[in-house]
Amino acid sequence: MKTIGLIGILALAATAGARSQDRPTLAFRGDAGFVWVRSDSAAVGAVAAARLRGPVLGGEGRLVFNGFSVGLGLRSGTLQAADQGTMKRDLIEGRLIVAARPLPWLEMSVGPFVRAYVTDSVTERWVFWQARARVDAPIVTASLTSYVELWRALSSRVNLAAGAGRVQGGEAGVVYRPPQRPFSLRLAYRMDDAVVGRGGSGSETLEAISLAIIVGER
Amino acid sequence: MTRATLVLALSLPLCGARALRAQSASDLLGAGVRAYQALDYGAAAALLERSLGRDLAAGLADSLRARALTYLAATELFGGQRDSAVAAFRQLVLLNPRYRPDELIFPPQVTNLFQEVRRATRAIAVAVPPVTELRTRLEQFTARVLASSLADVTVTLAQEDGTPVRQLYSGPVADSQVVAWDGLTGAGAPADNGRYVLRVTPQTPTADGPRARQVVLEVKRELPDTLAWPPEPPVLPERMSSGPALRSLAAGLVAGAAAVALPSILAPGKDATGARFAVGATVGVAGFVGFFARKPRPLDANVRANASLRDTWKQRLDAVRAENAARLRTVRLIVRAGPETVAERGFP
Repeated sequence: MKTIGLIGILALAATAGARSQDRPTLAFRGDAGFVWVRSDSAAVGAVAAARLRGPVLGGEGRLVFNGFSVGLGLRSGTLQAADQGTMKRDLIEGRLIVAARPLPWLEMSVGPFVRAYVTDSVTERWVFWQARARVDAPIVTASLTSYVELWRALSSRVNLAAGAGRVQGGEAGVVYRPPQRPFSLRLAYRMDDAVVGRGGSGSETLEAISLAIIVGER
Repeated sequence: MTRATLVLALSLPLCGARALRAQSASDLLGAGVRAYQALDYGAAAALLERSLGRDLAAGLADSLRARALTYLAATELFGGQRDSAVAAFRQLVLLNPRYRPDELIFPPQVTNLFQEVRRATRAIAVAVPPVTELRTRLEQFTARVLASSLADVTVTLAQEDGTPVRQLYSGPVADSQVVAWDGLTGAGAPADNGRYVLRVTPQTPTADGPRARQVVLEVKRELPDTLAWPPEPPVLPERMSSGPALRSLAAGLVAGAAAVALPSILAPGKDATGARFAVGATVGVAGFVGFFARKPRPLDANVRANASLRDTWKQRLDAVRAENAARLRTVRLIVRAGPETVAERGFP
């Protein structure tokens, strides 16, 4: 699956390069959000659940040319136990994407995604190769747009003993571009769900709400 | 000899006799004129009377008949038969009230007697062109009323059954009078198809006065071509389509619903926070904002442009309507005139 993702990246990049005629432009996004993480593990008939939450900050830069883009994003924050416990984890996410717009309202992208939960003693690291599809629907032309994005991991890996199972997620939100302004504002809700182990012995679900400011054309 | 040859042989003498009789009338006239010029008034009178004879009269045209009567009157005058000369001139005046003997040919005794008879003989006639085409109101059918001496006449137009259509002239005619008809009835409408009678009647009929004359007119209407109505102009839409507004609403509601439904789709059976409702509601409200922002409203520029187009079209429509009404008012008439005849007594 990783090979498929790599081929996808190379194909999109090669096509983008071949069709590149205009000067590339840069776009940046900075976002602030709040994340909820729920970890369920089934061990010896008992179900243990851990709930964490906390704010995150992140950013992403994209190089856009002729409807194609290559982007690199990073997000991090500190999560704490939702039940006033002492458990504490740092959340770090990073991703590389290569995206193309075959239609004005459709963006397809592929790329690796890394998520790590870091504690003082151990780091839980997930690595996905994602394939994403995003549909944009203008509400008010050029100023207000809604979007829905779904993704699924082509391959996933985690440094847990049980291993990684199916990983998928989605995002929905709205983008507002004020008139005569060089930036946009985005409000989004995201949910990722990862199954731990081939038999589904556990899962990790991440929800996030974020408000972002975007500078430049994406 | 076949039957056809026999028929041909029998018919030839008949045809030859008719041609001989027509030729004889003009020959008799010519011989009479030559006898007059040779001062052989007895022979001239006989020849001219024969040329005017009832059985030969059909062979002479009116112009030749007028010439024969003139020479006959002159012959009788110089032969000492003044009454016969007066009678011949009287026939001449009745035949053609405008006829005048040529003063280069006939001496003053003859022309003076003619003028005397003309003044004493009251005759009227009417001359019309055989075919007249006219547009009612704009053009005219003309008839010339002729009188041998001053006479008060009335010129009327009536239907063939006697129903009056219009009086065209009433007044004196000293020598000739042109009477015009614009093709309209007394009510001001163009004359219908049919046969009409143009009649010239003396206003004070007397036993020895001129007799009324009439001409039958065959009137045929030809309707004019009218202009086609101008086509309505293509107009611009005057209101925005409701499609964009509904698409905006759908975009907001679908994305908002997707935000709310993501946990159920991606991780069914697991609890999710209420954050999705906040985002879903926000996106849904954005859809309503878009719906009202793109709500159909009048397109003022198009409304103004359409009003201008409609005004222009209405002006063209009014112009065509006026032109068609004018064309329909001016019907084209074709008037074919029959021969002039003496009107029967008692004609209304």
